[in-house]
Amino acid sequence: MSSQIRYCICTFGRQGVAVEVELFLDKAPSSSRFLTSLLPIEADIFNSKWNGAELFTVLPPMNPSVVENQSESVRRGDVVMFHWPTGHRGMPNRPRAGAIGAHTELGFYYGELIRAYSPAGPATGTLVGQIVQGLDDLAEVAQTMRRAGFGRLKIVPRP
Amino acid sequence: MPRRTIDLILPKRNIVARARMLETEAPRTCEFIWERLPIESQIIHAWYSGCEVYFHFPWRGVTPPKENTTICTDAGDLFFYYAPWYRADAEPSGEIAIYYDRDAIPMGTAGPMAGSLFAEIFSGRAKFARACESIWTEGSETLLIRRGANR
Repeated sequence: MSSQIRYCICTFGRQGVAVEVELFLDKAPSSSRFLTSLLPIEADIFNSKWNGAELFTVLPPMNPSVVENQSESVRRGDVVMFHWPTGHRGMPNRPRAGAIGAHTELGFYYGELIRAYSPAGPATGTLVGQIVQGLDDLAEVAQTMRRAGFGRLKIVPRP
Repeated sequence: MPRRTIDLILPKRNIVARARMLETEAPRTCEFIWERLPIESQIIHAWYSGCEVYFHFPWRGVTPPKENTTICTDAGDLFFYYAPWYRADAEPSGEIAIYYDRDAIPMGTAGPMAGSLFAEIFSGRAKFARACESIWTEGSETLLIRRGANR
C-alpha cells in the first residue's frame, strides 16, 4: 500500500458503523506509514477498561517505535497509538496469558469522558489521526456495543 | 455470629461465586442489601475503573450510610455506591460493583471514588473472573444475587 494514503474508512462491529479518519502525515509520518502498511486491517475491537469512551484494537508492534506527535491528553475524535511491551496488563486476560508480546494499541476516542491511562498509570500515545466523519454515529453505536458485544473492526483506504 | 453469604449467579454460563458479607465492617450496608435480595439485573463491564462489572438498581427508603469506605480494591471485592453521594441531583439508586481481578481503581468523573466495601468473594472467583472478561467483549448479561446459606 502507498505511504501517501491520507484517509481511511474504519467500519466497526456487527452494526457496521463507518467513520472516516484523516491521518497526520506531517505530524506523525512514521506512525501513519506503519498503519497504512498494514491495510487492509481486520481485527477484534474492544472498549477500553481504563480510558472511558475509547474503542481500540490490537496491532503488531511498530519496530522501531518512533516518538512523534506524543500526548498524554486526548480529545474526542482523536485516533491514538500506544506502544505496549510484552505482558502489558491492560490487555484482555486471555491474550495476556497467551503471551501476546509487544503490541500496538490503536484507539478511537468517541466520547467526552476520556483519558489516556493504563494499569500502570497515565499513558503517552502518538496522535496519529482524527475522525473527520461519522463520529456522532460511532458514539451512539459504541454504547450499544458495550451491552451487545463488539465484533470486528475493518480499516481500508478511502477509495 | 454466623456470617451471611450471598450467591452471585451468571445463569447463562451456569457459574456461581459465593461471597461473605462483611457485617462487622459494614453492618448497615449489609443489612440494606440483604433485605433487598434477590436482585436480578444486567451487569455491564466498567470502562474507566479497570477490572470491574457493575449494575444499578432502584433505591427507596432510608439514605444508606457510608461504611468501610475505601478506594483500594482486592480481587473479589464487592462495593456499594449510592448515586447521590457523588452527584447531588441524582435520582436515588444503588450500584453494586464487583472488582473481579486485581487491576482496578474505582474512578468517577472527578477522580477516585470511594465506596462501601461490604462483601468479598470466597469461592468460585477464578471462574467468575473469566466470565467477567468475556462479558467485557461479548456484552452485558444477567446477574442474580441471592441469599446464600449462613456460614
